Amino acid sequence: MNVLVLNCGSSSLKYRLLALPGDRELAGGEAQRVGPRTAEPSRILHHADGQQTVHTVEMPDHAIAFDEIMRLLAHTGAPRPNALGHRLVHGGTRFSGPTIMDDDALRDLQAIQKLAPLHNPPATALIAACRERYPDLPQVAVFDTAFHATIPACAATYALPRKLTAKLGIRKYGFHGTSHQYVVEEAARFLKKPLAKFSAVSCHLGSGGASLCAVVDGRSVDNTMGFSPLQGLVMSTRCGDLDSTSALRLLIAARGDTDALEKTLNKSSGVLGLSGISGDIRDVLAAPAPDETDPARRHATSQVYLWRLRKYLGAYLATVGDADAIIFTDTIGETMPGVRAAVCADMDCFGVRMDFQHNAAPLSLPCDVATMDSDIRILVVATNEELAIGRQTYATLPPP
Amino acid sequence: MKNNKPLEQETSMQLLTLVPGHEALRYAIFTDRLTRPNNAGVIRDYRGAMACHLALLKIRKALQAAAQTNRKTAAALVAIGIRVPFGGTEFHGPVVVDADVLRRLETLTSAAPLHIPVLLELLQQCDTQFPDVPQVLVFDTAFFADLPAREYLYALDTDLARAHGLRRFGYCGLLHAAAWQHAARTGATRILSLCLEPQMELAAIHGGRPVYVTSGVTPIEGLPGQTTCGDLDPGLVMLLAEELHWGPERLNTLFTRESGLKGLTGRVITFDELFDAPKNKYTLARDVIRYRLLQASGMAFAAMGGIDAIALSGRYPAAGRASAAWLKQQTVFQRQCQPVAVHYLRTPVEFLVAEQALLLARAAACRAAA
Repeated sequence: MNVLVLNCGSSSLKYRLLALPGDRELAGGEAQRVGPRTAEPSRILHHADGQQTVHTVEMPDHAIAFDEIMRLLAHTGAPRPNALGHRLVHGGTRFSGPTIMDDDALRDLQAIQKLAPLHNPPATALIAACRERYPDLPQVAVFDTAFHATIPACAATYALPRKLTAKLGIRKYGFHGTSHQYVVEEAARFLKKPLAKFSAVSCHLGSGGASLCAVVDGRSVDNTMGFSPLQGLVMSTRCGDLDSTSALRLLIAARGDTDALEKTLNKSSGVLGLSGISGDIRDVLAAPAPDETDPARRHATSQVYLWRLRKYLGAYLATVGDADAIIFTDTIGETMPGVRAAVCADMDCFGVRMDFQHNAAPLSLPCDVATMDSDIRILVVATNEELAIGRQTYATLPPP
Repeated sequence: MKNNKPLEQETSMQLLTLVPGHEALRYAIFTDRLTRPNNAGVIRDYRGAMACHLALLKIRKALQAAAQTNRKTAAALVAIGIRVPFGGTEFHGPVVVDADVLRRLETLTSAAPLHIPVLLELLQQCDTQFPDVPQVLVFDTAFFADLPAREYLYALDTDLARAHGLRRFGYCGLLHAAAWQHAARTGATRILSLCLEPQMELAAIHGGRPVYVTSGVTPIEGLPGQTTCGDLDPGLVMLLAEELHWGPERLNTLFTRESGLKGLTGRVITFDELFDAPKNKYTLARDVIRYRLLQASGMAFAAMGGIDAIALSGRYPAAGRASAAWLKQQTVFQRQCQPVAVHYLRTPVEFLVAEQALLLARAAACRAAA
């Protein structure tokens, strides 16, 4: 079965055509600058058979971007997809696993849009458009929240009046589930442990978003993101944890404009707000230029980033109890040995001992960088959300 | 205890402590000895010039009554110790009130609009009722004024955070500091300090310095309290404002008065009642509190590379003991080679205020004499 995986961003559409089972990638790419015309033209970066091509084409919305991608695939001789796998950020309480998108499911998906007003609407609209264009092509939605449906009440409940939380669907949903689930399965396989007996703290450290996931017996029991992807760790431009009073003070300063506050906390906080130089923690951790104006601010940024990460690693190791492994993944987790070393140093009290030399050396993933005598393995695993979505889509559909 | 020495050997002396709270002014009178107050009380209504004036008249009468019941006749008031919940980064320790201190206090008004004006009124009335008696301010945030930057900074735009005074503090500093000293006498250097007040607060104290604390800009952040919400997703503030059309004041009431144990159980209960309740009662609230405590403990372990002792303090000892006993059964505590000792500080906060007040008033008197 050939599955076309679609990952819808606010102004981009990533795609990957996979032959399953067997995880073979046939083609892939990204439609960029989807939406109203910008200074630069919209284009598709397409790759297949190790060759990359660029196609400039107008794409005023995601549906048209999808048409162009299908046309490009047909034009370059790729096989026609047998199914579509969509990445959805939020599944609310309605979707606790990959779901075939029929009329009912699509209606339910449209009803929960406001849970993720920034992320869900373009993907939902894309599903509707795909159904219109290819009514016979089965579509599966894979949700970032689904893996976290097993988070127990003690971790999912905010200490707010229960009538209010019930009415507004307020609870911890957790995100990055597709990635966490994927690396947890990879890690269990690598350590030759049955998934049902595998416990870990999974650290998905992206250059944009980041979250930790506590996993007991192969199931998610907590995630640092909460009701929205705003809570938890220091991220590229998102603030992570914040006193509610702070948010209220900023809301007053913004004269009650929630959109302005949303923008402040989502777009100009985090590493960017703290450092004032970059939203990418790799830039902040790099050696400062000799003529740098504010090296103290750069230093404080990396300290806050690493400290929050370290505290949450401690919290989640305490939650899991007997963890088999700590897993590092995604851009920062896979490529920044300094970050891994900073948060794993002096963690002997948890039974965590890192082989710092091995950690600093070039690694071929997956890889274990704990010392021989460490009670808990420290793994670096490459994540692959598109492949995970493809596999889940394949597993959800009836055999062809 | 080391503190039952007489205030003065020769003449009889009195010391007054004031704890101005949200709803009431608590006072305690110590005569001759700092063991336990001779007289203590709560005055419900003390806000505003007139109410404050009447409150202090009442306290003055209580002081006179306490002096008479003592066998010595001329008991002089040597100091007034006042507990202040918020001193910002301005006050790193207790101070004797003078013109400069008053000026510095006024700069804190925007950061603590509920506390500072009430405090300034109280100080003025104290001046009128007890002229020439030194007033000593003891700040609950002072212990946390030197938190490391990595702990006190939020991941916000640096200028924005500075403009709005958004940084982390701890709010039970007096109790944490005393509980730490109490536990440190056994040689422990890495202390998990859990303060059982209506707004529960957990701090990691490494070699006498706090390195991690659950509270934030206000004591609302961190662990849920009896009526306060604790950690929330900041996105919820936007959601609630939009969905309920509630303004910041109404939301603040929700977060501070209607949440926490009250929100979870639908009833007004204390932490002692929560932990004393039968197993099938308040199950969710207890599970939530325990879970948050476990996570905060994990953070304390990570912050100090382990812990040597748990130091409990505050007005809910039963809840403290129950929490510590539960925590000690958890894997992360069981894993330690040395069993984690638990200490409980019995000293009430009035006493800690009195102790500081006496120390500072005496030092000031010595300076004046020299």
